[in-house]
Amino acid sequence: MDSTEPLHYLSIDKAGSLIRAGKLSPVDLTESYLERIDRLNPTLHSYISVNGDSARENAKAMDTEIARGHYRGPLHGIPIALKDLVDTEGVATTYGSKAFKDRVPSADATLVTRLKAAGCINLGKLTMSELAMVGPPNLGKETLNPWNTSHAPGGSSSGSATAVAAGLCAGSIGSDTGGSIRFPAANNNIVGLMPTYGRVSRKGVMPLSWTLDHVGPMTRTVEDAALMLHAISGFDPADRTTSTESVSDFRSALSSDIKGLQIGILEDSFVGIHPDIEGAMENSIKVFEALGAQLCPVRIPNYRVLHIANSVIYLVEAFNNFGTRLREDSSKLGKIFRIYGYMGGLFSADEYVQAMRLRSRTRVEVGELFERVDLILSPTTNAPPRRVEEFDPFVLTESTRSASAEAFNLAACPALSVPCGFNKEHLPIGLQLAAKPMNEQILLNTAYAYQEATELYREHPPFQA
Amino acid sequence: MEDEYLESLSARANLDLSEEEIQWVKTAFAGYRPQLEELMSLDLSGDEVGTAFLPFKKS
Repeated sequence: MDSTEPLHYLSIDKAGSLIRAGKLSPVDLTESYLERIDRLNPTLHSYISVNGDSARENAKAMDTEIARGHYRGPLHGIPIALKDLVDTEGVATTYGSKAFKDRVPSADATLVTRLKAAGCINLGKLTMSELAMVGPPNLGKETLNPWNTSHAPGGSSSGSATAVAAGLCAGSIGSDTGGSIRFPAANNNIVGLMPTYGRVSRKGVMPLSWTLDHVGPMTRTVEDAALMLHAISGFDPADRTTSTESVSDFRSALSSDIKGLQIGILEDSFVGIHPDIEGAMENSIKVFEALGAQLCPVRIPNYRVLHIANSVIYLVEAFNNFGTRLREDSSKLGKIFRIYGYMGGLFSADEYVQAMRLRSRTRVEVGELFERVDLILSPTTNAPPRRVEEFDPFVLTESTRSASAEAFNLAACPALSVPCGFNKEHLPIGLQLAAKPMNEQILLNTAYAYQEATELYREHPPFQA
Repeated sequence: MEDEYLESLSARANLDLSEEEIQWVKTAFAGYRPQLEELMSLDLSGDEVGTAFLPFKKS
């Protein structure tokens, strides 16, 4: 071992190199995470279930393979964890809801099959907002932010973010219908990547909204996001929405040279933001300029109604998915999902169609922006992580709270959150970059350049049990 | 939101809401309503449903 980082904070990239060189055993790495989960999870509640025995067994198998000269690639022997809406064969997958607490899938999701084939070890399932909505789960305890346990981590991929930030896994999988990967990534000083719609199979992943859902990696570094994205991407005959576009080796192609890149600053997203976020963004813009990028202001028309359009679409689709439960068995669903689930049943067909028409227009308008710029930059969130007790179940009705994230769900473009600083209470802040569909590489390159210039990923939460 | 209107929407969705749930839904509707009205007032003629996953440029 020649790294100064403790095992649980090694990047996947670094741990993978050490495993390949025979300097680190997957068994030791897995044990270090399991020990840390035992110690910290009773307070953070990142995991809803831990697969200790099967993780140890798989780690031994990965060790044996290495000893026999069979190396699967950079994820060989890497311990990861999954948001509890990703199906795992024979292991409860509860969607964070009492209504599904006994649900045990008979098959792995396609992305799980791919991660296993790449050599990943699944440590367990991660806490999430009930049915990927917002706020605390309705099953298990509320996840706390490891940077300050008085604060929430953001959602809905709350456990996916905190487990990565606190060193309870090397990387995780989250899902994103309107910011649910990017918001908790920003709130926990990690990288969260929402890939292009169709890049990653959703077969075996709980549908909240068929037309807006994405699944993607949440990691401590950009290199790690590139590695995980490469492993899970690609056409899946079991998911007809997946693209047949070829998948490149995002990690090998990473470059920090962004000289001359055109970055549009999404002006609308700066209106009404918290001063600490504004300050962090101003500093970020200076970093991008120093790296040789050229920045200019851009706007997305109808920005003020993007949130309601996104909300109508996903809530109507969610009601179609979960309507029977809402009608016949609502006592097992929590207040938040009931409020918004019912709303999905109450919006009219006319409102849904109008939202979908706006979506079509937004896609064209965002496309026109990408003829002028390579990337669009905005704050990931408009405020630092809230205090736990300040949760307002009606927060989702606020008009532009999350529009900068939702714009790219609507336009089916990839977007990523990368750490960009801390507020006065030393709570993390993230910035969002978005790119044209299937252009994850430029997204990763730009985030990588920024990460290397700022080195914010080196700082870890102060939380200790 | 008027009670009769919410009742008609609930009946259409085949939902039997409790008094408490009706209040939740009314509060959510109150938050969404100005945005919903703005969305519905947009002239989106020429923009068809189902084109959101097509290439960026209109043909």
